[in-house]
Amino acid sequence: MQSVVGIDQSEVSANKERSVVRPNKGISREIVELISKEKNEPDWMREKRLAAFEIFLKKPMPTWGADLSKLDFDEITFYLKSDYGKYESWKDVPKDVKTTFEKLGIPQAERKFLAGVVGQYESEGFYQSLMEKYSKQGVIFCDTDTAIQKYPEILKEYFMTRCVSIADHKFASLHGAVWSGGSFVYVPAGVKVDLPLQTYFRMNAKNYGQFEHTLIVAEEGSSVHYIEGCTAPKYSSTSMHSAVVEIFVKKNAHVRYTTVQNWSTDVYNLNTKRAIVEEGGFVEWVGGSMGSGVTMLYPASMLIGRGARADHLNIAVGGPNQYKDTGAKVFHGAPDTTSTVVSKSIVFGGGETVYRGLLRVAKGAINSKAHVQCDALMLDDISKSDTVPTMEVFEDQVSVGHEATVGRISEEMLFYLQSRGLTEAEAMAMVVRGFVEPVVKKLPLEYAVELNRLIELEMEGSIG
Amino acid sequence: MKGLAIKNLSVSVAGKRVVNGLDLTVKQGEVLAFMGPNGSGKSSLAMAVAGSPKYIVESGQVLLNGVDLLKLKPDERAKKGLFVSFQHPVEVAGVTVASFLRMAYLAKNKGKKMGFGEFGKLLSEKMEQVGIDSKFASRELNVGFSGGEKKKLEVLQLLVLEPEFVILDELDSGLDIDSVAFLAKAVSEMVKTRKIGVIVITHYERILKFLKPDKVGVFVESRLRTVGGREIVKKLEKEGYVNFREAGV
Amino acid sequence: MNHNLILGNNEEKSIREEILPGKKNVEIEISGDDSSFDYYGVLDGKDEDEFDISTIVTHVGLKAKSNVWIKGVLRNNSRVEVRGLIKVLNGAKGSDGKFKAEFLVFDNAVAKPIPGLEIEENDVAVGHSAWVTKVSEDMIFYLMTKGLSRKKSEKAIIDGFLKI
Repeated sequence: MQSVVGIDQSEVSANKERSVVRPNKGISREIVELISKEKNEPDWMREKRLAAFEIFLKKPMPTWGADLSKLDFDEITFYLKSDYGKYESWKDVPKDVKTTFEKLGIPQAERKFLAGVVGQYESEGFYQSLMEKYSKQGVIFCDTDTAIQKYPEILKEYFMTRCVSIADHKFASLHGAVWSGGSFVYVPAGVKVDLPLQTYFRMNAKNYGQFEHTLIVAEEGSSVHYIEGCTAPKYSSTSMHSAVVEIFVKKNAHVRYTTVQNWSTDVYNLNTKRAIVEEGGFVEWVGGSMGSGVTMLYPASMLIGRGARADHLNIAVGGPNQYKDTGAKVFHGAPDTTSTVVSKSIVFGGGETVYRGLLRVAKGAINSKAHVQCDALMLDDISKSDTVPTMEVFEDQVSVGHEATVGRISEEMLFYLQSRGLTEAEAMAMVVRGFVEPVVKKLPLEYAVELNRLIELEMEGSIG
Repeated sequence: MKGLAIKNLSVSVAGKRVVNGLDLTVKQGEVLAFMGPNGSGKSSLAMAVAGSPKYIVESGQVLLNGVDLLKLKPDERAKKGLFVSFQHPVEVAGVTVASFLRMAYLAKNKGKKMGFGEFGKLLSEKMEQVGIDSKFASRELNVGFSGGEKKKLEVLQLLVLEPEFVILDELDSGLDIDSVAFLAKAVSEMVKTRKIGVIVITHYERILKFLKPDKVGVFVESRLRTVGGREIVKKLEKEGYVNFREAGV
Repeated sequence: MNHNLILGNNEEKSIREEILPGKKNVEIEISGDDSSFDYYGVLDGKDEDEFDISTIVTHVGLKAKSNVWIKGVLRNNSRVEVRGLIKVLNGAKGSDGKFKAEFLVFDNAVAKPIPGLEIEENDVAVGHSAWVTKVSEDMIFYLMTKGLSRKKSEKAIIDGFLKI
């Protein structure tokens, strides 16, 4: 796959914005109405947006986590529709958009690996194709806007209802009001989708926020692997990204959600990702976050059925001027549930990473096992690493543990590797790769390669 | 001269002098047994020659085929043909034996093109020579390895990297007699076929039965007391190191 | 009894105690070089006992070493909240800091360990762990095969766990 690495982001510069509808900056009831009207949405969705907007106005900003004081809602444009329709085949996609996507490596990937691609450009899904085999089995993979029109019954039941509700917190409410785009995946009972489903998206306009909504419903006994990966071009003013991912893992189903993020340095990246896992179900969150000025990301798994399981694997890289506040939330609400969290963070050049985790075991969640391992590697003495885990255990017949370590690459290790002919830089790179290996081995090969290279590029010049 | 020439070497660690004015020469194709009691400073020599940041060289030279290694970084010394097997090999999490060896091999043989498959074959051959199960190729470097397994892995590295001069730091400690024989023979083969020079650091004579030394040096309390032939080994077996210590100490 | 200390150069302080219900604060600053702090606290909670424990160890000087270990058994309706923070300030090179909390929980008791790390220096070896578990079945089985009843086995294990 043609990798993204080595391409200066500023080259892949903003195509002159092809926007037809560009509402004023800031948010208001009128803008929410406009968004719904442009999309031709049914009443039930329009009403939901307005209800969410009312709640957004009332809720206070979060008082913990990253410093959001520079975030000014009035400076952001919340909706941008391009004049591109949707395309079944790559041949029909306009040239400049194609160039951008080609540089990001999509076409070859689609030919080789994927079941289907929904490319996101300026918050509107415009390209979709689905392999015949899966659609015959009843698998649905399309953009969320289309899903609202085509599958209203399913969407009404799952969209911002029991998983991430519009009243959840301020950014969820904002999202409920202005969401646009994202993917909808529905896998019928017993169907196993063996090729990963993948989508790319990027933000293009200055001061533009992206609010895509991804909804995945895996019926009983089904399995699917969904990959979300994105890059964005450099800009000097801030952009905001507040996506929501809702995953429903039904009985004995399996969903793996993989994210590799490399936002440019001026993005506020504040997402809400949550999975509800029923009896015997299994959810995996695999993620790597690099780039991005400010990130707050805590995938949450709600284990509500007996024997439900969650694995969270995450890499956070905090380089110069980056602040990564990431972690995991796991709620054990039934007996025999298990969860593992592995969080690896690397910090250098004055960057900062924080691991923030919540592990809650409810009364009655007998025989549950939970383990959190968070390790931080600090490459120099001007960076910071914090760990703030919380464990709330209300049941006695359980085993719950949390372990964390912070340190630097041991001199001994470097010396040993150097004595075998590796230069200091090669030795450091090898140790860092080894450090993140437990997470990277869960990524599809091209992502693993990209992730390792992205980490090395980020580190380049920051190592003495 | 082809080989390793140590001239007036003095080394200290954590403020303490552990090697005092050492002069020692080992030619290519020669095996020198470097023997001494625990704490005499033998391992310090190995680590100092390898370039460990913990060991401060206060004076002297270490010439490998005429090049002063002390002026070079540890990886540059390795590329010049030095190999030091560690007494306590370091565990490197997340890095497999195979990927590490391939990287080290390519670092040594710059410009050589070798695909994964080709290297895999080379690795299997060498693993057999050393008596290590092929499963070890995908295990994390030294992680969870027993003492014996770690030592076998050191010799495996030696076979893959094909150095010119080798220092074995207490290779036999923690190994059963069969493994000692096996590994010692593998190194002995390399002396015969590739004329490598070897310094075997040890305080037991076991390994010397299979890796026969041409010379024996006795190192006690940071100084080289004597260098002689194999008969010294028998003497040490009978009398210990007592006669080699400073008079009155 | 609360502990509030500043350690200078080459000082070693070691505290071993039983922790009683109520509030306990342990605030230690290792200000000088080559000093170490060691804390071992044990608690046995029953009925309506409530424990609110906070430990803050700040590493300022060079080669500061600290080890905080809190263990407890909680029964009936007892509760414990432990906030264990290790702070390593920039410049505190060679720091070695450890925090460990382990709780055996029975009946309706609740354990809430909150270990934390705030690290501004990379030349360190710092770690923490927190465990809330039931008594190991393997251990019980092992003792039972030596002739102890289940009850006696559990008691033996718990007594061993709580040794000061």
